[in-house]
Amino acid sequence: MSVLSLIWVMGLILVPLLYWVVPERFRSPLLVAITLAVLAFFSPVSAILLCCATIFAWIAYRFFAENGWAIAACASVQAVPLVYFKATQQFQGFGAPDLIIAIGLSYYALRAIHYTLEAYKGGLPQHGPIDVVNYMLFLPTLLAGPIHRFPQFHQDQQRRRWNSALFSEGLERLLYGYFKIAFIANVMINEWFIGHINDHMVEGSRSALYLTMIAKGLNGYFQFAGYSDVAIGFARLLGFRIMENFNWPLVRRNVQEFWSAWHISLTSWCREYVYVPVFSLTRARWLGIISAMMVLGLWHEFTARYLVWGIYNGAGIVAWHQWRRLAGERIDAAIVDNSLAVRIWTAISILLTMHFVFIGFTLVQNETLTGGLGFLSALLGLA
Amino acid sequence: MYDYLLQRYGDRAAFWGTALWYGVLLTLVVLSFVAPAGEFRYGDI
Repeated sequence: MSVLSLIWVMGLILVPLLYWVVPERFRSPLLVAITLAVLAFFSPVSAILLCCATIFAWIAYRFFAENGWAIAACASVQAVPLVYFKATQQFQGFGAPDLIIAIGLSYYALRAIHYTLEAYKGGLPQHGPIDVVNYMLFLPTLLAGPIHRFPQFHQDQQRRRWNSALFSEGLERLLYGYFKIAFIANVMINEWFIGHINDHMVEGSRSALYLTMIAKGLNGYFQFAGYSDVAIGFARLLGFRIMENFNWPLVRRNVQEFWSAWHISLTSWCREYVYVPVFSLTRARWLGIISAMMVLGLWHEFTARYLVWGIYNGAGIVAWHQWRRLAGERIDAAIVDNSLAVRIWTAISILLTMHFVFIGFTLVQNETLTGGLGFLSALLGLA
Repeated sequence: MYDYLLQRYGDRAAFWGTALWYGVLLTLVVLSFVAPAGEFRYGDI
């Protein structure tokens, strides 16, 4: 199911309409019922898993919030379905029995783990079981995130009322989201840009491979940013201001900044629940960074290519920290009074960062790691 | 968009500028859906 599907577009029109027409006390139950109906229709297994995750999250908060080991066990149990589905999805179509796709599992599993861990850290406001149900079964973020956080959601739910300015912002975000997906990514990049490469360039030439890499990187950004815009816009139509997921990542000056601006809800999740604990235990920043980026990679898929991709980006961030300590700060200090030099240096930094990230994307845009490495070798003239 | 135009060019220009901007975006989105070349392919995200 895609946000471009007719049923999703119809939902964007009908759900907010119904939502604001019914009395206030029926709004949340209505939304939960629609979410469950959608999931039960498209992915019954996901509906069951989501209900289990929600009940389990509440039990963890209600009965085990004081016990660190119990909370760790609960968070691990919440991760089991995610790990199982990520580990087995690669075998689909290769002789293994067909697996039922668990729509939205990648996102609601991380929300459940966030909720469980925050229960122990004391980061959750006072709330009841219905609030957890509303949070976990929130329709706009079901398909493709963002992995929004409970405290903000709860606050929005408490303050929720008709707000024409917020509704208008929601419509605007939906328009931008669909513009990014439908026009920029699907037409401009996939049809025109890649079509031009295929029609007018020598297949397998380095220039064609380079432009393909750029096109696929841009396509990934506009598709995903568009999906996030649709989710954020949809949430605003319902009176919720959920967290942003992208903040101009392609014009960042270094890989650290890039990963603070790309898929923010996931990278901040990895920072809070992987980097911080690892760093606290080991006092080794590099290990925390590599661990967080490995989890980020494996979250997409349990395969060698995503593992390597995560380590590649983690190593990039570690290397950038070293570079900054050894030379970067001195260069910045030396050119700070020369605006032209600052602009040139910024432009070079942005280009380098973008190429570093896009080269990383080629590792995961092919079916296998070998395929990705083959593409890179051909691009660099090594094959 | 509206606020930006309002600050720089006034009420009337802000209204029509915003309407034009959204109109262009919406037209391109609709065309993307209906144009023969715009057959949608779910991007690899």
